[in-house]
Amino acid sequence: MEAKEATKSFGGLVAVNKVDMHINEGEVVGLIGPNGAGKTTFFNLITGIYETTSGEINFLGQPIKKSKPYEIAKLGIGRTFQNIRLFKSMTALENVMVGQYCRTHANLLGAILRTKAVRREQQQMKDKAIELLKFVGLEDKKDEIATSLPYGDQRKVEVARALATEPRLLLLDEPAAGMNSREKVEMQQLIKRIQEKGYTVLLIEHDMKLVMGICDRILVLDYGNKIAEGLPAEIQKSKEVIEAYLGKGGAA
Amino acid sequence: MFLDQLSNGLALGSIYALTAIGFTMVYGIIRLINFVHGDIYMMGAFFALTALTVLGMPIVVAFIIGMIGSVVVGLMIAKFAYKPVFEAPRINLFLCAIGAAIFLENYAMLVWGPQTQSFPDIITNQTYNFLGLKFTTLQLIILATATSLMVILTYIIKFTKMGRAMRCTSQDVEAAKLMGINTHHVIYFTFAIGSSLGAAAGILVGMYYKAVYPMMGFTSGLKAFVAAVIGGIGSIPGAMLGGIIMGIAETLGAAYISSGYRDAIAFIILIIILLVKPSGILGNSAKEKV
Repeated sequence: MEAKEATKSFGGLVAVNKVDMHINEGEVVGLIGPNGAGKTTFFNLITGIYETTSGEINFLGQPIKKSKPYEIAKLGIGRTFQNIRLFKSMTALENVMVGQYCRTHANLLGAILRTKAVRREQQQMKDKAIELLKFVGLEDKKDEIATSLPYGDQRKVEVARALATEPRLLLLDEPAAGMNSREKVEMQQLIKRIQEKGYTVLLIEHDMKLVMGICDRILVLDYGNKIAEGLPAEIQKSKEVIEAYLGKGGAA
Repeated sequence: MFLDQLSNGLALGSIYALTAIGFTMVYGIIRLINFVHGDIYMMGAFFALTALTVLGMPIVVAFIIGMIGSVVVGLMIAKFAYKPVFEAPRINLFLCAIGAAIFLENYAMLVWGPQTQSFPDIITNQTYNFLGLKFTTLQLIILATATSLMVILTYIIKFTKMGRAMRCTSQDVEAAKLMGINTHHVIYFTFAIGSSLGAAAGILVGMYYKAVYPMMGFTSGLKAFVAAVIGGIGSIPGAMLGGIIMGIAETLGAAYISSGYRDAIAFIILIIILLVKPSGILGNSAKEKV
């Protein structure tokens, strides 16, 4: 994925200002910045919820400006949400199966007649969803209604659902927000395992320990502008970044 | 007397339930009170009647033609009356619905004439006894058709990919899109299913009362809406329950109070439900999204 001077303004407010970035296959890139820096807006640009005001975002060589969100999922971008958005009255398993919607072919007639191909596909979907739940460590909770799960588990279901779309790029919007320290460690390990499987991940997170611990590269936004980009160690020392977080005196 | 009325009520109620499902499904997906639904029901009855009398087809074929015809009408309304204003405030959609309803009613008058047409007697009625309840053949056909359609619908919604996509879309449209669900397809599909069930109800009513007329959808549409609200709008089991309750209450009310109050009873129940449990019997209380 690559963004070239991607810009989004809402009226006079420029939420994302000429941001250049790229992610290589297999990389875990962190996107950090103070509240209101434009991180989630940037995610929404990538997933086609917003259209860029100017500049462009390309994914696998294709501009995604005009695509609809569901086409973008098909292109291979999966995401989780800052505020959990699971389908509330469905079980964990069903939620994950939904993620595979764009990868299956069954049409309705086939589903009613229960043709062999459809049954096989259904079974494959189910198996795969169970496998993904196993991957995030929730296979024993597969039949629980999503919203009755503890908060940390709901996040894991969201990750599993995003993985079910078979993403070439996985966007995680504050996956550890609101978690306790044990859950955070679990989430960190989970992201590590996702990375080991070869997924490309773009991660928004406020928890610095988590970000510094797993990201190959970090990008810092402040008031919509990219103020720094580099290895975790470089970012930690960057004057601009410290200023953005702590104010001018903090750098001294 | 009571038991006779109960079987009448069940038959009528299952028809209300079929109609109410269409209302509740469309509401669940796009939060629109689809006031054209009653007229789709009327169109279904006319299509079937035409196939039966003019083209001389057997009833089963006429029934299916009525359903298919209504699906086409329903999809055309979704495409031409609703699609252009999908993103607009709900009131615009609602006004389009009323406009489309008026259009369909007058179109039907133009094509089939404003007078009531009689639905031919095709079924020789016998009476059957079930646990003290007396059913006529026609009532049994109505119950069987309505029940099997509802079973098929429940299966589609619970176990198929499209059904799952429908549930997602009704719960969170944005998240559904981002998970790769083509929500436009889902919306059209919902209209198609709702219209076909509405048409089935219209044809069954035509057979039951042996009368089909252009304004038949108006009161029925209103009552189906009431049934959907009683059961909890957006909830399909709720619509089924609401329909049955209304059917039974109406026939019992007509028998024991006065048949003049038949239509009023629906609205009395509505008022009571709105006072006691505004979200409907099986409805979730509305949660505001933050």
